[in-house]
Amino acid sequence: MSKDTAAPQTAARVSLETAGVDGPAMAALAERHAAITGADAAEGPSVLVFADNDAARLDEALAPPRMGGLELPVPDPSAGDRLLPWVAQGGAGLSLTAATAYRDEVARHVADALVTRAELSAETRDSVELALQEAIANAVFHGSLEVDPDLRDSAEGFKAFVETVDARLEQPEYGGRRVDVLASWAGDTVEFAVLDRGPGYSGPPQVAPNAAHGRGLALIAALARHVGVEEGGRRLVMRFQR
Amino acid sequence: MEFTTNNQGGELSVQMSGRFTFSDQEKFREVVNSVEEGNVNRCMLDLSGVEFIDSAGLGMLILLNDTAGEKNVGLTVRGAQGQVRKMLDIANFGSILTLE
Repeated sequence: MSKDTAAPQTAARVSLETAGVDGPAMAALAERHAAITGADAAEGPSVLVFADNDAARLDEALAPPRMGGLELPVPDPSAGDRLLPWVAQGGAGLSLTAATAYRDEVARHVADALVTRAELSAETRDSVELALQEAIANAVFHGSLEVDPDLRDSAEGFKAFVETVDARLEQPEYGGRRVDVLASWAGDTVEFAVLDRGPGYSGPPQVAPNAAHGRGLALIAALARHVGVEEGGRRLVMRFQR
Repeated sequence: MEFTTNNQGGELSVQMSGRFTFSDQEKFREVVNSVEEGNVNRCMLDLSGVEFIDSAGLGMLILLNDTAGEKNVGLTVRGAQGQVRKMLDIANFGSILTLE
């Protein structure tokens, strides 16, 4: 951040590192976020922008001094719109396609990374992993793939559910939708936000004790110190004591 | 999640290991199928090798239990430990499934 900036500004500039993303796509990303990107990786936070979907990328992206990872397999005008401003403000996170969020055990990777980076206790780490797992499940299945959760209540429906998931993961308009997992920590608190680009939802789900689905939000509420549903159900915020 | 099955005279034992989560729904269909289609009177599901389960995993256990019920297959779930045991307790699965 330059010292002669007139407007009050706390954000740092974010540098973008590429791993297999072609030049024009990187240039377009940097151009769209020109106000907050462009620093030297040695000075400010950096974000790894990658095109392949190797699970090792998640650990690379979350290892210091990097502050995040942005999956960019195809040109995407929404890429970085949530992650880059978040990182500029001091947070960390991953911005992935729904297909990658489905496949790559994102909750485990993020929880493990935060043990060292945010000094989570072992107990909090486990709560964080499960809460993130549930939030990401909602973002993938309901937000991104838009599959009917009620299907899972019968064996016949479960087959239809699995087949729909399988098909939609391959379709860019579903499986290519962006899921963001953002983290920040300060004082005794660690905060996460999980975002999807789906139709959203309203109202708490009613769950029968022996239903085969619908426990996710209740679990999150039991694990986190604070839970907030924002942006019409497209952003779930969770806070924990570190 | 990985699993192996072994059917001995209608007694199906299923041994699961790894993480049992929403990513395993397609794979778990094979377990449900083996109870549905096979020559099975009883099914023993051993979770001792499972280290992590999410609510989708719990849902799949309910589904397996329902399927077993429809086919008159006695299902017993055993060996849950650590986080898996905790999750089954939180969800009060002892009142829904036969747990050992």
